[in-house]
Parts: sequence; structure tokens; C-alpha cells
Amino acid sequence: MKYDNLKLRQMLAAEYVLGTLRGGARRRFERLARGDLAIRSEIRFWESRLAGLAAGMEPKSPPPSVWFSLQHRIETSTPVVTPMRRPVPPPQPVRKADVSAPASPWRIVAGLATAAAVVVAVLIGTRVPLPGQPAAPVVAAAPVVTPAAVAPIYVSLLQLPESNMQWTLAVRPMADEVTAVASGAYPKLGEHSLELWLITDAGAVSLGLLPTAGEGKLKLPSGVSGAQLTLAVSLEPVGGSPTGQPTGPVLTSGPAIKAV
Amino acid sequence: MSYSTADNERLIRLLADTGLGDQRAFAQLYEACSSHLYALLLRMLKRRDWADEALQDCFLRVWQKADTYAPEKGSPLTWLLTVARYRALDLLRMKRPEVEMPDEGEEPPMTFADASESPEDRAVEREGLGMLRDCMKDLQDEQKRSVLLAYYEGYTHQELALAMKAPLGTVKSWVRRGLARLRECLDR
Repeated sequence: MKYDNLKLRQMLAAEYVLGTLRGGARRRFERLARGDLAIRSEIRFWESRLAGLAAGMEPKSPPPSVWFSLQHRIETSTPVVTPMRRPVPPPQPVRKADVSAPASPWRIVAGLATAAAVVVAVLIGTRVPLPGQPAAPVVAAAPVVTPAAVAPIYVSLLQLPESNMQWTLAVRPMADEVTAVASGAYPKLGEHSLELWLITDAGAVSLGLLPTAGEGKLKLPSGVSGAQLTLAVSLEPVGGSPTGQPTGPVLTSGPAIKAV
Repeated sequence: MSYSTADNERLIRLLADTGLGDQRAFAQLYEACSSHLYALLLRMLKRRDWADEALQDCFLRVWQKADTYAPEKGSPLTWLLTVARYRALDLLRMKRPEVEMPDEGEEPPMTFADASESPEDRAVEREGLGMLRDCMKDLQDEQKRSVLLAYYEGYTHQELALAMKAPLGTVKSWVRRGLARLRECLDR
């Protein structure tokens, strides 16, 4: 194909940007453009003009999972330290220089485990039974135990996939209460609330909105038994689900396990 | 574009900081622009999973290449939309040969009705975008329709011929005449 004709080059640039120039012709034109300033500026002309067609569209919020995955991909390919992490080394201006740097999932897992252990220890405080003491009964035995007996606590660690945002939850059925401690960086994208649900045979029961930082107390419906406690977090409009049932995607879920 | 000069300057700053490896700036850039890119990607790719993948690829590229952005390449949003559109075209080329026109998906099928007036009418008066709208009006119906279908759907000449129920040669000349006429008009 002869490229020396100005009109032809203009047309090819237009079709390149529009996308109707395909296959070998497209690749040849790309190669040509690399060494030709006039073609590149013609391409730029069309890119900036035609972008107006996209700019007029109604914006649509992508699901949070895209950001989580993106963060994960960036963190595993660069040694950057994000803010709000544990303050270990100072932030390095280096990035993408060392794409081969291996991710350190073990360090993260170890960190999470340690953090969880600390939080659980704080949550359950002095109620940990002494060695040799019988463990508190699991279900339905509450009336039998003496008032001095330990009220059971169930804990759950729910993490947003591919992020370091997580909640340590302590469920106290006898107090009808759930304590949620948030940690990690919450990737706030758009206006949303995160709602915690108790999954029962009859469906999901809302426990309220989760804090994205610090600690919060949520109300547990009375009469919840400790056996098979499953919790889930869904993405909801600000203020929580308008229907009383999850309306957005479930971001994470997991069981609550008896700690005391 | 619905972006003011102040927004534009903020985006230029965010892109510059992203180029230096500032993840917080990158997060803000994502928050400000991702919904615009996602709208285009959903429109072109029709499938949420493909649009998610493409959006992620785009922003990964932006993270890696933010330092190559220069304001003379257009506004940051224009640049980002261009990156997104090329990514979508690549994906369509890879994925559409087998799956000819996926009509499955959660998105309602995009009708052509809104492409015929609203998108370009809503484009604002920046970088000659108002001019684009005026120039679009000058095009004959088939020329305009073929250019818009190629833009929003990422159609090849063959797919255009199929969608517009016209011979391949005719469709090619609609596209070319439409673009030539746009070029002349935008040059004025």
C-alpha cells in the first residue's frame, strides 16, 4: 500500500483510531506511525476528537472487585508500601523497576494471623478459661450452667478478597451483640455501605452496617444459637439494603467459630 | 466532557503523581475516571466480565505508563478513554471471532436509538468536541450510523455490513466518506 498520499494517510489514521483498520494493515500502520511524526499527530487528532463520543456517555460504576484485583496485581508486581499499612519500612519511591520481585503472601498471612490473634485476645479479654477448666458447652446448655459460667463468644475473621481490609467479629449470642473491629485499608469506591448478615436457614438476617475503620457494635437478634453461625458481608446502597435482604454482591462470608 | 478546567488540572496532577508511584493518587484517579471508562467498555464489550477484565488491564497500564502521559496528548480523561478503547478493540479481536455477537449478558442490549442523538449531543465544548457534534450532523445517515457503530460497538467492516444489511464495499465507503467528511468539517 502506498502511504505517501496525504489523504490516504489521513484516512488510515482515522480508520486506525476508529478501529476498522484491522489485521496486518493495522500492524503495518502502527509500525509506520512509530517513525512518522505526521501520522502520529493525525492519530492524536482523531483520538482526541472521537473521545468526545465516549465522554458523552452516562458513567457506570465498576464493581469493587475490579479495584481489589487491580490493587492485588499492583502490589504483587511492585514493592510499593501503601499507606495505612503497618509502619514498617518507609515508603520507597521505587516501583515497577523490579517486576520480578515475588509477592510475599506469607508475610501478609502471618501479619493477618498475628493481628487476628491480638484482636481476638483483646476481644475475649480475661474470659479465657483457665487450663483444666471445662470448656463452655456449645449449644442449648446455657440454662444448666451457673451464672458464673463463661458466656460463649464466637469469632470470625472476614476479609475482602484481594485487599487487606478485614473485620474481626466477636459474636456474643447471650448478649445479643456482635463486635466488629475493622482493620486494613478500605478501598472506598463510590458511595456504598457494607452490611453484615447472619445467614440462617430462613435466609439472611441483617445485623447492621459494618464500620470501615475502628470498632463498632451491632445487634444480634435474640435467640440465635451458636451452632453453625455463618456471616456474610454485602455491598449495599448508603445506609444499607432498602429491602431488608442483600441487594448487592456478597463480598465475603465465613463461619464464626467458638472461641470461649 | 463534563469536566471543568479545575477537574482537568486535578487529573493531570493525579496522573503525574501516579507516574511517580503514588498509589493514593492512583486510587483517586481510579475513583474519578473508572466509571467513564467502564461505561465505554460495557458498551463495546457487552459482557460485564470482559469489561471488568478490560478495565483492570487499562488501569494496570495506566499505573505502569502514567509517566508517558503528556498534556499535549489531550486531557487525561481523553487519554484514558483512548487507552480503554484500544484495549476493548484488542479484546474484541481476540474474543469475538468465535463468539460472534454475544447477546448474553446482564446489560440490556444497546439499541442504536441513543447513538443517533444523545452521546454526541452530550459531548461538551472542549477540545473541539462541540464541533464534533456539529460535524456529525453533516454526515449522511448511513455514514453517521456506520461511524457510530464502529466507534461504540467496535465493529469491523464485515460486522458493519452484517449489522447494516449492506454489501461490504458499500459499508467501507460509508465509513470512509463519513470520516473524510468529518475530517474536512473538523478542519474548518
